[in-house]
Amino acid sequence: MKISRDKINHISSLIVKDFAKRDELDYKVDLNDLRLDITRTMTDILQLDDKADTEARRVMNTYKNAPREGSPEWDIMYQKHFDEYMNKQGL
Amino acid sequence: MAVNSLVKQLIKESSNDMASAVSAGILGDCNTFLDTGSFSLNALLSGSMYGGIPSNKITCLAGSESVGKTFFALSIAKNFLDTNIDSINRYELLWISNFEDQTILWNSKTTHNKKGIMSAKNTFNNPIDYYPSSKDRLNISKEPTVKIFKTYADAKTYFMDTLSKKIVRSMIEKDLIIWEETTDKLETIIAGIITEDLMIEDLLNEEVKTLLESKTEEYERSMMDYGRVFQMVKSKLVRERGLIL
Repeated sequence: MKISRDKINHISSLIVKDFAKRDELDYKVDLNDLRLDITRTMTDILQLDDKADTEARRVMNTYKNAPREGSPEWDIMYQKHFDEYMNKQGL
Repeated sequence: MAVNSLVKQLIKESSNDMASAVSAGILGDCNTFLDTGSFSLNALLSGSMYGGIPSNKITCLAGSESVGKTFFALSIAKNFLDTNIDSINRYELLWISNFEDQTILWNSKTTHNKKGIMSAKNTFNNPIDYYPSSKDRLNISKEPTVKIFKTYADAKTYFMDTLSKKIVRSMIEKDLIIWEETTDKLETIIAGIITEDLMIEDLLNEEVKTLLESKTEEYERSMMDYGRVFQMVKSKLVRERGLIL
């Protein structure tokens, strides 16, 4: 899934704003630091998409008789390797 | 012997050199065929009465209009389904196992035989053939390792849950917050915020679609491209409402 940088910042602000309203939650650092941590975590996870894409393409290139890119067989195999990489990362 | 000479005669009379090229393996390794349901047609296409259309190649049917290309293609499909009654079920099972469960194919009576002998029942196109070496086939795990989602929405929900779990875990591990209740509750709150915000774009798309439905004639009259109009309207609404997509 692709989410823009602006969107990530926006979502992290929304989360922090929600935290500020809650009595059951207390924070040990500045709210902006908390927001930055959320942004960082989200960015790291979302960057996995690109890494999974690179890995899936790398594996596909190692096949001698790999189907042509764009064919249904290519899509199935690409998705398989993509998902395998994501699973390895716990996603 | 008589059959063989009949096949040769058929090929000769039709001047179809491709049939002998297929049967001789000149066009690449091919020992599985889709039976067309007609012995003569099989012979003309593949050089064998029990052959047909090569199952691991793309076959293009060309001809003038109304000569029966669609009828011909549908007949092949019908014949395939008639002779492989469980093929759709097997393909679904194979799909679910991410093409990893070979037993779905190998245990079936209608799969192609491993010696490469052509048979009228050699009709199932094995997707595992696309794997380059037998080594890969042997390494295939029986346990599916990939998560399968029925819909895109399921995948999205799973992704949101994972994302919120990671955020909560990171904040707790780094000791940034004090949360008195269960982590599940905090994860649900965060997942809710993310999902709600990401839904804005889906809702906006629906809104633009509805708006344009009533104006179809207008932009068609102005020869405008639907996709472009869609993007223009969407961008305008985003600007007006100060949304972040």
